Amino acid sequence: MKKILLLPIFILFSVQIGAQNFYRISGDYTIKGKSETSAQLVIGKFYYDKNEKKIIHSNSFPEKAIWVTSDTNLFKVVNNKIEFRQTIPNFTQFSMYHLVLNNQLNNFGLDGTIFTLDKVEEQNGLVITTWIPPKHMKKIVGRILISSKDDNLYGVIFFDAEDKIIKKQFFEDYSVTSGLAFPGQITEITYAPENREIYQVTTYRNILVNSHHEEQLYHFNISDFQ
Amino acid sequence: MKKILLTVCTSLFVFLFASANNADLFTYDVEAVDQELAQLQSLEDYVCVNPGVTLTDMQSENNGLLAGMNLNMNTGGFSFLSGEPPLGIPSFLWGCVLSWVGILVVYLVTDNDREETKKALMGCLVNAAAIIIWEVIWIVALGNGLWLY
Repeated sequence: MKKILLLPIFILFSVQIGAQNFYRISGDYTIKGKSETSAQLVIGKFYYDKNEKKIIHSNSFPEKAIWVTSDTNLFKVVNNKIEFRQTIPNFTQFSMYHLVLNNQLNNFGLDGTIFTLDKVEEQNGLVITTWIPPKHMKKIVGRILISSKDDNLYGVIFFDAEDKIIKKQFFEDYSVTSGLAFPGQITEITYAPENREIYQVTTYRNILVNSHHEEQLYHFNISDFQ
Repeated sequence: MKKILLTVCTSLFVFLFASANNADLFTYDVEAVDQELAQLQSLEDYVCVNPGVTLTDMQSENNGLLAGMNLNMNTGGFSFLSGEPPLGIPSFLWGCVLSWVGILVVYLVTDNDREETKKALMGCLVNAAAIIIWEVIWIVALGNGLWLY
């Protein structure tokens, strides 16, 4: 009898977990980048609510500034004043934050785009998928390889039209917050002309999912600033 | 018969070799990256124990951690690849934040022949990703972005 009573509770609980709606994410981030001639360190917090479709980066270093990506606008707010505004393409739905919340990070958001899945293979504990551009773009861009490890995105490799690697990205040190996996470190290696390699490492900490802490930052009404 | 066997073996070898290569590509020299970014790591550690400190503060006190680093002050006006940030979008937003679209756009804007890119992308306005890439090329072709401020 107990078993019969427990069964519907278990089913309801399972359905609840499966249908968990991740709509908001925030955290601390640090970007360290270096090329032969210059270096960059950016430290701040990010906020993203997929219903608001605004990406907010509140930086504390090298300068105190808030960068807001909203629809086709990019704003920089310093000392409660809009210091800079720029029209940009609407990237929000391709941001890593959006992909994570929508459980699309594993294929890096390539599913349903101009790239098509060409091959799936399993090697050395990695599931590797090859994505190819449409025929009329093959003179411009090359294939993209994506690997996943333990059901999490691990690496992305971009090739140019001559099949030379132009960039590698590695997603590592995943943490799981409220059931949502998020990478703790992203390492990017850009292969620039003249055999230059540019390194950039982004680290994420203190990830919060569906949090109502600092509520106003997720909404960030730009019209409040001049 | 020998020829068929040889062809099959060669094809199999080429297939296996090509497949093996793909997994090998997903490696990088962790030590080289750590070593290259060691000075920035020290700087990050300093900023973490001195919350609120800015680069201007550190420069004004001639902080030794900045020595020989050529650290970029302006987050918004900087790109490792081209000197100027593509479309005026700060470099920290490209790459991992803007996923593959961001990477592709930076590549297209900085490394490719824009006329050829424009022509080839004419036929791919079939989904959001293509539209975004097209928008970018269009903006670039019109003249290095639409600066409103």
